[in-house]
Amino acid sequence: MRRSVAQGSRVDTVVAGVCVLLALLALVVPDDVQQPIASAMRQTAGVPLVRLQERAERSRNAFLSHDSVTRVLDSLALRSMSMQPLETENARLRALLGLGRRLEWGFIPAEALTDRGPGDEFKLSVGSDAGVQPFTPVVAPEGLVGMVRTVDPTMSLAVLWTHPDFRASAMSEDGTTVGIVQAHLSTGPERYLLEMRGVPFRSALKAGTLVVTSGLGGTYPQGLQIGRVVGELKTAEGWARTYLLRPTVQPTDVRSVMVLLPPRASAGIESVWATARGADSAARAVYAWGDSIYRDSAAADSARRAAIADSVRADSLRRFPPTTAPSATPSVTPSARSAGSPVASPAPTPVRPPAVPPPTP
Amino acid sequence: MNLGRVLRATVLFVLLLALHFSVRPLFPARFAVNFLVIALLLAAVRLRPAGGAVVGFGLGLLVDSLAPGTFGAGMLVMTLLGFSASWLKAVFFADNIALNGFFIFAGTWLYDLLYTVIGGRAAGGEFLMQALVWAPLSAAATAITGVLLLFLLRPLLEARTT
Repeated sequence: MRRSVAQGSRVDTVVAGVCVLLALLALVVPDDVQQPIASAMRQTAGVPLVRLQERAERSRNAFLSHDSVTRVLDSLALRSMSMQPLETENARLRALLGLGRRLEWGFIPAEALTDRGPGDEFKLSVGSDAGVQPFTPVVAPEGLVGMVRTVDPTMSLAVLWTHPDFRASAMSEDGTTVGIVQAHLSTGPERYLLEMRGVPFRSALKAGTLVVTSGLGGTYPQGLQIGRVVGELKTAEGWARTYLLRPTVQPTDVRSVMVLLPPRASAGIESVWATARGADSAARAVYAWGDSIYRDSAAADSARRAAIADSVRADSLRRFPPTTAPSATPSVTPSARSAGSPVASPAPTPVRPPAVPPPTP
Repeated sequence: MNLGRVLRATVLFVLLLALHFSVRPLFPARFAVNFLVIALLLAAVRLRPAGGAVVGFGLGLLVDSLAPGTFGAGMLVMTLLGFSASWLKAVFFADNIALNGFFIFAGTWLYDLLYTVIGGRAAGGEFLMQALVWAPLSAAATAITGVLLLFLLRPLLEARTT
C-alpha cells in the first residue's frame, strides 16, 4: 500500500516535472516555433472562447455607446426635420435665380414678409429707395403674385391675388380667349382659387388651359402666368362664361419674390415664361420623337417579318406548285396585298412601309 | 468519484472557462475575477497532483495561445498552481469553504505575481503596484466569487478526501 502511494507520488512528480519542462521550453523557444503552436490552439480549442470574448466586448461597446448613439440619432432626426424646409427653400431660390437670369435686367429681388401667414396683403423688404413704384407687378418663378400698392422708402405693401380688389386682364395662352381674373371670393378651400370672368360665351376653355396676363391695362405685362383652368362656374350671367382657375403661385409659397420695374414691364416679358414653357414643350417633343422612332422601328420590324414570310411562301409555291389552274394560284403581287404591306421583290431586302398606313375604306 | 460527479465537475469547469471569456471583458478594470484560477483549483482538488499539473498545463497553453506575447508563462504558472493545489489539498486541507477561499486568494495572487514576473509585464514601481495593489484586489475578487460558487454548488461538488 505504502509502495503504491510512493509510486503514485513519483508518477505525479514526473508528470508535473514534464509539464514544467515543457512550459519552460515554450518560454525559451524562438517566436517562429511559438507562433504555430499558439495558432493551432487558437484555431481549435480557442475558437469558441475567442467568439465568446468578441461577443462580450461587442455587447460592452454597444452598452457603452448606447447613450452617444442615441444622442447622435436624436440630433440627426432633428437635422433631418429641418432639412425639408431647407430643401424647399433651396429649390425655390434656384428657381428665382433662374427667373432672374431670364429677366436679365429691370427687377428687384425682395422678401415677402407676412405677419400671420398667408393673407391678402404682404410687406416687401424693398421700397422706393430701390426704385419700387406703386402698381408695380410682383412675380415669382411660377408666375404672377400680385401688385405693389403702397411704397415707403425702405419697404412696400403689396396685395396678393387673393385680395378682393385684385384684377388682372387675362387671356388663354394661345390668345384666343380673354377675360378678367380676380380672386374667387368664396368660403372654404376654394377661397384660394381664382376666377376668370367675362369670357365670351362663344369661347370655351378646356380644363388645364394655361391663363396668362394679356398686357391690357398697363399694370401687368403680357405673358405672366396666372393659373390653369379647373372648370366652368355656373353663373347667372347669360352673355359670358366664368372659369375657375388654379393659381400657379400658392400663397404659402410667397417668400422670395421679384418686383418688376416699369421699364422692364414695358419691354415685355413674354420670352421669360415662354422659355420655361418652351423647355417643357421641348421635353415633350423629345419624348414624342422617341415614341415615333420606336413606332417606326416596330413597323419596320413587322414589315421585315412579313416580307420574310412572303418570300418563304413564294419559295414553297415555286417548289411545290399547286395542282389547280395557275389562275387560281394565290399570286404574290402588290395588288393582292393590303395597303401598307411590304411589296415582295426578287431581292430579299424588305421594303419599309409608311409610318402611318393610309386609311382603308 | 463516480461518473455523475465527473460529469458535473466537467460541466462546471467548462462553465467557468466560458465565464472567464464572456464576463471578464464586460468589466475591464485593473483587477478582475479570474475564473480560470477558480476552475483550475476546483478541478485540481479533485484530481491527483499529476492530473492537476496536466489540467494547469492545458489551461496555460490556452491562455498563452490567446496572448502570445507571454507564451509559456501561463503554462508554467498554471502547471505549478494545479500541481501544488492538488498536493496541498491532499496533505493539509479539509473541505472547508473558508480554507478554499483562502487557497483561491493565495493561488490567484501567486498566479498574478508569477505571470507578471515571468512574462516581464511590469518593472519597478509599476511591478510593486501590480504585486501589492492590483494582484491582491484581483485575488480578493476571485476568492469571493469562488467562495460564492462553492457555497452555491456545494451539493453538486465533492472534494477528493484521500
